[in-house]
Amino acid sequence: MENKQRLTSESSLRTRRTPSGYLLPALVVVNAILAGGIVAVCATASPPLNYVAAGVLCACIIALSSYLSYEWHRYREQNKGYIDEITDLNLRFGILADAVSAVSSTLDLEELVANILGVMLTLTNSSIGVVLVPDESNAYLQVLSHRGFQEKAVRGLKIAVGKGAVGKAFQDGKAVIRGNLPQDPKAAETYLDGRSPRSQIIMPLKAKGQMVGIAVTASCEEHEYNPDEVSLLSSLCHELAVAMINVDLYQQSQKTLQWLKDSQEYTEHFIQEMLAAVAVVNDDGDVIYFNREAADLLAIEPKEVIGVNYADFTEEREKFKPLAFLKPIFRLCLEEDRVFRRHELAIEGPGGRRMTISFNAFPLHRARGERMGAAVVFMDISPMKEMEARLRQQDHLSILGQMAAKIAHEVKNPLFAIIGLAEELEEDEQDPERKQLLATIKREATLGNQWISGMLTFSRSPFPVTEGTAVSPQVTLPELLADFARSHQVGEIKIVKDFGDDLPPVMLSRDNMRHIIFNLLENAVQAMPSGGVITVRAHDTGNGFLEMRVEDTGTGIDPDILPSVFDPFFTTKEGGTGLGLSIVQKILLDMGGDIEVRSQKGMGTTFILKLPTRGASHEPVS
Amino acid sequence: MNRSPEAKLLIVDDNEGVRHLVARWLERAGFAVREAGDGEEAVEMIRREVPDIVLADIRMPKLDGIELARIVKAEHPKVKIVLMTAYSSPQTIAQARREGVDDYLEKPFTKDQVERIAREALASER
Repeated sequence: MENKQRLTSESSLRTRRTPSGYLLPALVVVNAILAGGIVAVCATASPPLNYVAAGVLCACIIALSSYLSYEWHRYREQNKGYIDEITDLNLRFGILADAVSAVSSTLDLEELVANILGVMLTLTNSSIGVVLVPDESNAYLQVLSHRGFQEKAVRGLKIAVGKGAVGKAFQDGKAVIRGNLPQDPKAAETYLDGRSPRSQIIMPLKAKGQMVGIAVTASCEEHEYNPDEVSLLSSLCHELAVAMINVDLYQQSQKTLQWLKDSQEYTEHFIQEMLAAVAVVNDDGDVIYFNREAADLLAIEPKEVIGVNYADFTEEREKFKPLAFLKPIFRLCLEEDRVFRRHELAIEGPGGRRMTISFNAFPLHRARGERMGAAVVFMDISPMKEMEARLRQQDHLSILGQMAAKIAHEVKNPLFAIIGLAEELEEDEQDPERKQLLATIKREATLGNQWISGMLTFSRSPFPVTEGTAVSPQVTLPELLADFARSHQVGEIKIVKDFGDDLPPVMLSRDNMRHIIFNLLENAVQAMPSGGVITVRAHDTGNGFLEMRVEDTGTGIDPDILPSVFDPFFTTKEGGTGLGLSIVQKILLDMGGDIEVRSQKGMGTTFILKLPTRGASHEPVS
Repeated sequence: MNRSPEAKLLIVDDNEGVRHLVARWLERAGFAVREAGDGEEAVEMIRREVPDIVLADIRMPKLDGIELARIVKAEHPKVKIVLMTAYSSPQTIAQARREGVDDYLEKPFTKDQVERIAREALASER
């Protein structure tokens, strides 16, 4: 707009210059002709005619010369205004250039505003200026930058939008010029030089239909704001508003960028350290993430997996064998958009170990819904599965126990009556044949009763252990071993004792200890039909348990049935109840102990028992 | 063995066979035996005639052996009580002891066992 104005003033100047440009040389030529005429008249004409003609020509020369000097002077004057205008325009160009450079040189909002405010003050020849911006509520304007004010006068200053000349100008978005301002009584404490402003211009900072603030410049003199100046100020303010919006956008984008960077780092750290294994592929199926837990679980380093396409996770590639289970999951997520929640899968882990894993898998989508990959989050739940199986077994035992209590009452009572009454009749019976029949009734009922009694052991709750029920193994063990040898056909079997005399007491009743020892020894004897050695070892583990081992050199247990030997009613013996080892395990588990079995076909079997001790084995004698 | 033919004994069991068997054994051993089919019947009989000893099953309908013991001990602290059980957890035995039960017998038991326990209970100070 100002360019156009400048062009107009320039062209008007050029039209004024045109007549003077041609007139002056013409006048010089005419003067020369007149002087030549004087010389010719003086030489050729006789007096007095020659004096008269020369005098007339001289008068013409003087008149023309006077006109010439007048025009010259006028021409000089005109040129002087033009030079001033050019100087002024140069100044304005300089200011604009400064402003442009200020706008483009910084992305710091306060620095930018301070620079532009300086330019505006120069432009309006003012010493006081302030730029205000709306606060977050958009209800008040606060000072962003100022010049010529006392710091304390503007610090925390808030101008309500719509109130006062400035507030109204912000609300209306229109420039306001105010002159002849009344004397400010607080001028001394408000302004740096203590003088009250006389005139001011309030300019809205507006761009893209958005009001971003207000700029005010004020002068202590009466200042006429001419249209050129106002229009220049207005474009300057527009540029400033654009710059302010840009800076704001830039700062917001910087913040968003930082936030994204932070959240990415946070997420990566979180995924890296989480207890679940995580594998992520991009939309092409290439692995882009494989965390530490996944690496540990599948025994493969992340760097060997990152960048590999999931299609390569096949059984055929030895290195990726443990990852083979991921292939169909990723395929379903990527190709069919499938989501898996808490699925369980039995896989062959590193080294061929059977593992049960639980996993969530899902395609990853951008906010726009476009797919960017898929993720599988998984964990090894094998230990939990084992625990679950164990609890389930205990649960079965508990139900069995409740059932047993009922059976005991309903079956053991009649059996007791049958046994007792048969015995009574047998005693009184004289007929040997009938006596024999009664004895058979008694024997069969007794067998049934024994079977039920064994089963009932399961329903017994853990026996409360008191000091009285704890036994001392170095006394009890040899006694029990001797009892066993006396009451059983041990034949060619040798029983070896391998334990010291410093064993701590264990939290078991003598009856339970007897049941455990007899049961294990009976099994050992049956495993060695042609003789062998049974070794009973015991030592204090020092952490609250006595470890006892019962080893035989018998036939060993088939690996297929080894995991079932503690299951109730599991038996390989003709006529066995399948309860012997179950009861041994039950007693130990109830006491807080444990039992495990190791066996090798043809080499023998070892039962390892952990018996809880009564605390420290060597208590201080205090 | 110091026999006391005067001793009055009440057998309480819901199983008729057990009741008859034990009654037969103890009558032969010289006790004056009466029989009750459950705890409530036993309470009635004790109110009519107080026995020296009550031999009761733990598990019975209506009123079980432990509740019966509590009632009897509250009214007649000197009456000896022996409980019989086909199957009981150690906790049940411990509870029975707390209720003042003098002794217990695990089924199946023999004639000699029940006679000995009955006599020991009668002889005890408790």
